[in-house]
Amino acid sequence: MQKAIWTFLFALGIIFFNWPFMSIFKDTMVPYLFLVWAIFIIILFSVTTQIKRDDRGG
Amino acid sequence: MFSTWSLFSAILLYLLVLFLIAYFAERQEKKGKSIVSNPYVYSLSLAVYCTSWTFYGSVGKAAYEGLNFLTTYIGPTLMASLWWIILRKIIIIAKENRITNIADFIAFRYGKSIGLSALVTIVAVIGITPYLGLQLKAIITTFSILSGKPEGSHFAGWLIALMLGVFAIIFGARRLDASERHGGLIFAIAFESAIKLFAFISVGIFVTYGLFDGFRDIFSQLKGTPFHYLINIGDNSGVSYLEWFSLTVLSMMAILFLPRQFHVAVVENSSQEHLKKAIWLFPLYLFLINIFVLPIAYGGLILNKTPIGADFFVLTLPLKQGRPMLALLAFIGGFSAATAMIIVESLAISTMVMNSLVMPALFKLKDMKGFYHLILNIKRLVIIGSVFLGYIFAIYIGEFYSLVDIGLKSFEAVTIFAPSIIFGLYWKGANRKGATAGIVAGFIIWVYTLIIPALTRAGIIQRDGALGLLFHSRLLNPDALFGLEGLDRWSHSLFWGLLLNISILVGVSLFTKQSESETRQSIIFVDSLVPSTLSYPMRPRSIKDIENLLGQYIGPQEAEEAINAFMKKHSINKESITEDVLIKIREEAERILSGALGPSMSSLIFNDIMVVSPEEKIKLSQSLKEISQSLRLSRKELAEANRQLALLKEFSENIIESIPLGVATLDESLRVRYWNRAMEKITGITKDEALNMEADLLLKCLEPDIFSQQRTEGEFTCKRTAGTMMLLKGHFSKLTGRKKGYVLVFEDITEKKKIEEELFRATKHASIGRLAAGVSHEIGNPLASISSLVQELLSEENISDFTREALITINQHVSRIARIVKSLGDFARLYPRQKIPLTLDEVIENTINLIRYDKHFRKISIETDIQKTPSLKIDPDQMQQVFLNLMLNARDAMPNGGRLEISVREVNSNVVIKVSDTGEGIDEETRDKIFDPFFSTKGPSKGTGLGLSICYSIIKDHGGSIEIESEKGRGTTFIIKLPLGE
Repeated sequence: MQKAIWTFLFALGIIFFNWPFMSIFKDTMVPYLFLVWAIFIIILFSVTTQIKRDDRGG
Repeated sequence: MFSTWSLFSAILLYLLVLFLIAYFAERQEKKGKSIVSNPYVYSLSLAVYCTSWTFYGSVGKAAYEGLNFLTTYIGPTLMASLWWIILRKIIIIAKENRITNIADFIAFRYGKSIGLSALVTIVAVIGITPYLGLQLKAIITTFSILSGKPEGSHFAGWLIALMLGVFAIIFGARRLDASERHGGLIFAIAFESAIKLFAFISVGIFVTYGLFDGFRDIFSQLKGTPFHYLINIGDNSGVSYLEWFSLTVLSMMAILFLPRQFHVAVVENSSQEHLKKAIWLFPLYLFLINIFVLPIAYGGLILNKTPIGADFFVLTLPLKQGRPMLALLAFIGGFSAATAMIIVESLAISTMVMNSLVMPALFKLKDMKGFYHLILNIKRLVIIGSVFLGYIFAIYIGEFYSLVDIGLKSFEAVTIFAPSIIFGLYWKGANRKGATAGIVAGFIIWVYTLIIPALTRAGIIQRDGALGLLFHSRLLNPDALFGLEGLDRWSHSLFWGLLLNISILVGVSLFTKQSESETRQSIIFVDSLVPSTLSYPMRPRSIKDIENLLGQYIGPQEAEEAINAFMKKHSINKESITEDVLIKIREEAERILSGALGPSMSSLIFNDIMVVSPEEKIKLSQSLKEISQSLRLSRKELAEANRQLALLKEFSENIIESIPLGVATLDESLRVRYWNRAMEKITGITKDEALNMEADLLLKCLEPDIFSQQRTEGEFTCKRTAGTMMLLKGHFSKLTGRKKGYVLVFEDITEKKKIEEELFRATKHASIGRLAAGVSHEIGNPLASISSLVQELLSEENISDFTREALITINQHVSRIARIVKSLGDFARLYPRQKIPLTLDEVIENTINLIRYDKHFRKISIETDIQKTPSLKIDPDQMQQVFLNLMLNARDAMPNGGRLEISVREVNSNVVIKVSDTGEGIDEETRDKIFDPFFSTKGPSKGTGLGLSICYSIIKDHGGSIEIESEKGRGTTFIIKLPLGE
């Protein structure tokens, strides 16, 4: 389950930080990049708090 | 400006502080009070990623090309989301096998191949040395800027390189066991990460709020300059989306596979738990250190009106604005970024060079004495050597390139390792030949498409020379290989490098065989197995032999201590050593040696020299084959067992779902875990509603604490969700085993109970009927004689008045007895009558006519609702008697008047007659006995108690049923059902 969550998060990051998604925000590129970056870090933080200790590496 | 000596003093002071910090951390660790082993230090140590390239180069890149410097930090942020999957797996494997560098990691995966390990090391040294040089170049340049003169900067660079080398030796190569973590060094690196972040943010705040009015001001001013295109990506900007994507991929690979990142993230990791915090703390560090890159870059452009010298805006802006101390802080920040990288990278490279190149070479000279000291000293030399190699690059070649160019080439170089590591971790089929061919192909592409064009641009290689033909050919043009044009150089090199690397790795692996050793290693990697699960049939000689061999490489005392520690940890007694224990000690010794020399050398030493005889090798080979075969079989068996288990589960569930008994299971907290279909039907509660609910709430009829009473069964009257009552019989059993709880089995016995009562009543009636028949017959005949004699005596004329009066009284009593006897006869059905087809409405109408004018019915309103029903074959007199009895009962129940309702309906295949009154009703106890013979609530003078019993017998005789519905104070309804077939 955790493997799926991390992979999904990674895929989401790739989408949000690349074309064509980024081109939507071409007029506000700098705020967009830093805002999405900050949100991504917050999501990483919240997901890591859910990790169970006994989960073995993928 | 600062004088050369004051700058030297600042550097020396800083290094002294660094030394003291590292020394303090090591001492604390030795005392068992580690200040290093925590997630914050671990996360900060990962920030060794941010080198002088970040500190100076990001600003330069932003000033020249805009936003694409961000990919270097967004890539690692994205990769951090996969750390729990990939990096943790790498850490587990590396820790379990004492792997200390990326070359050993790859070699260990592909059958502990020394050749592959050497290849990876050579590629890494060639790819990373420029990166080391970049750091020294940054130090030398910034030294010149601050001192205001280039003289002495090369000497400063030389001296700094030497000092950093010594620092790396003191804190990284005092002993040989490279798998031991270097607490002092890591704490110093973490400290440097904090310093560079503080310094960069300080300069950022100065530029943003000291020289401008904040971010908005800088960005709005930039829009009015020729550099306005720098705040975008794509069309009309400094970077294309393709280049952005390629650089993101490169950075993602770099954060995992750069030798120094591997060292701090894997080798120096003391707990997997630290990774949890690093997953978000490290990206947060990257985020913070990048917040002011754009303001500094754009601020510098606005003020200088040119991007020239942008690499060092961090230093020159404060200097030009008369803030020398801030410039010095920036210099220290940049210096800490560069030194941290140099120290860790030189240590990582030296370990690779030692394990992959030096040790195999030394190993061939078997008669060498003093092996341990020799190895340690060579390692120290290699560290110094790698730092000075970087220095030479910085002095003689580095001047041709920008900081960013050098860094990105190194990123491309480590991407060469990515396919063999990623495929090695997740695909057992990847083999040594495939990995080697893939890496060679990747390296050739890297050199041909990035290094040769760079050397050509620098004028080191002449375009018109011997290589001119190649450069100008359509297929082999290094800037447009195989005619692929239109890509930036990073995307171009990455595309061809990864394409060929992956294709060759997969292709060769598919068409060539793995060795047995590779098969074993692939299982360890892909399944993350511990090697000890694969047992060796080999026979070590003695503990002393193992200690002696280990001592040659890591020192006799260290070897003895390591073996003793292992034996103590596993409670092994030296006096009773079995062969199995010897094998375990041998494996531990091999792991320890692997930490010092790398797994390839360690394996070679232990397997070829010491303990493996040719016979044992054959046994090992057979064992591996058996393990491999057994694993394949196990998987097949496991799959089959899984299939069978699924079928069995389905079968069991089908049975439980289809049985007419309600089955539910509860967990220990009495919450419902299973609820079958019959349970839904019985209770009217669906499975979805029931699951996870507490049983007490769902089945309120259960006695409280029923589960703690240890009861195994019981009968319960429960209310259905529809409101009707039901009688349940429940069986309870405790679940034993791992999952505790209860199994409840319920049976709805409402109908069964009713049938049982009916049967009991019928049996009772039958026996009383037989008794009544006997009594009626035996009394009826003498009574007839008495009656006729009394009549005869009364007809005599000569009898006295008293006698006449007495005879009349006798006659009255005899008549009463006769009536009772007749009733008994009726009850016993002694006089069978003829049944004729008749509609019930006629019989009911006739009965109502009989009572309509009875004075006792005056206060009672009679309401009828009689539907025309098909005719039934009935005895009209008997049926009339039934209705009459019921109506008279109703009358007696309503002494003060009321309403008598009579209805007839055809329902299904029955005619249903209801006779209801609004009387005082009957309680439950009386209701159960109401059809019993001689039961009466009216007292002996008012009836025989046979009226309703006769009704019951008559209706039964007609194949029907009679029921009563009544509640005290709510009236009574008799319901008669007569089948239409009768």
